Amino acid sequence: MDLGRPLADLIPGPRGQLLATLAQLETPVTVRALARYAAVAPQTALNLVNDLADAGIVSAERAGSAQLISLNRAHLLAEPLISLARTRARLIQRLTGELAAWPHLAGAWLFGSAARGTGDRGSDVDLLLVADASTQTAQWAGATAQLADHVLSWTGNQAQLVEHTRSSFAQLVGSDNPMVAAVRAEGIALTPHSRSLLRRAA
Amino acid sequence: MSPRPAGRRSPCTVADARARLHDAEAFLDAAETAKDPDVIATNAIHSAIAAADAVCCVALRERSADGNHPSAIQLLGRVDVGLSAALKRALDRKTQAAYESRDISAGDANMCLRQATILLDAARDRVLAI
Repeated sequence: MDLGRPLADLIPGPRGQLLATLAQLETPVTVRALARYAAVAPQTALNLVNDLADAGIVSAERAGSAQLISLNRAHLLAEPLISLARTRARLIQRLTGELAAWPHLAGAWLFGSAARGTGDRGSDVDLLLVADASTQTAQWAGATAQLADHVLSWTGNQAQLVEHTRSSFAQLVGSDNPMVAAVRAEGIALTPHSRSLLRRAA
Repeated sequence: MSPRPAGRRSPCTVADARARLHDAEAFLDAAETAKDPDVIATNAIHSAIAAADAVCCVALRERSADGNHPSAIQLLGRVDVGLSAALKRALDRKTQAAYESRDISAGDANMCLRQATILLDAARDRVLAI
């Protein structure tokens, strides 16, 4: 899956970029502004907007000499479109749901390009997992293998798991490790106690 | 279409939205670890403001830029009236928490935390969609 632009896997090219942007925006904008936000050429945006307006998916209203465009949120296709645009949020929900059942997990974060929203099809899903005690148990090994399988099955992307115990994680935090800096800057906490674990380890 | 709100606004990008979400999380983190109600409330209110900026950056591609609270609340109301009500409830405590000698109550500090959490969840949801 294109982790930065999941909609592009289903609707590639400018049409997908434009639709993803329309799903984010909650105010009407000019075609020129829409083109800029979606990183699409203005003429391409205009052609696509006209086509989408024919299908009733976008609404157009006049404001002076300008035409303001917005997603027609009453359209039957708007709801699935918005849902598709929130694919990354659903990935995080699934990860959070799966990790909630782990008995000996002290903390977990999504970090790297998947957390930043800048990944692509070739990007790994980077996960930092901190175990309460040992990472050398059969139960832990089974759970991490299953998690990696699930991530691959959900996204088509490999999971890159970084595993630590509480004590090795504390050493990492104390040594100003760049991965910890990345987790602090852009990591998405996947368990309720992850943020307090990072705080206490500092 | 709703009328354009008063107050100075500045354009912002999805990168700004991510940065303001990060600010909101850091302020909420500071609020949750503080003991003094004034400190809890002040950090929670900063978190609420940053989260509101993140929401506006994604949904409107602009944010309030002049520290004018009513215009920030009005701008957020163009996205979601429930969120603008949460921001208003938090901002109503700002002066007392940050500047007055009379301490804010623990109950009001917790209320600010709740509003900040509502706004942060909404900001996270929107930023994850970009």
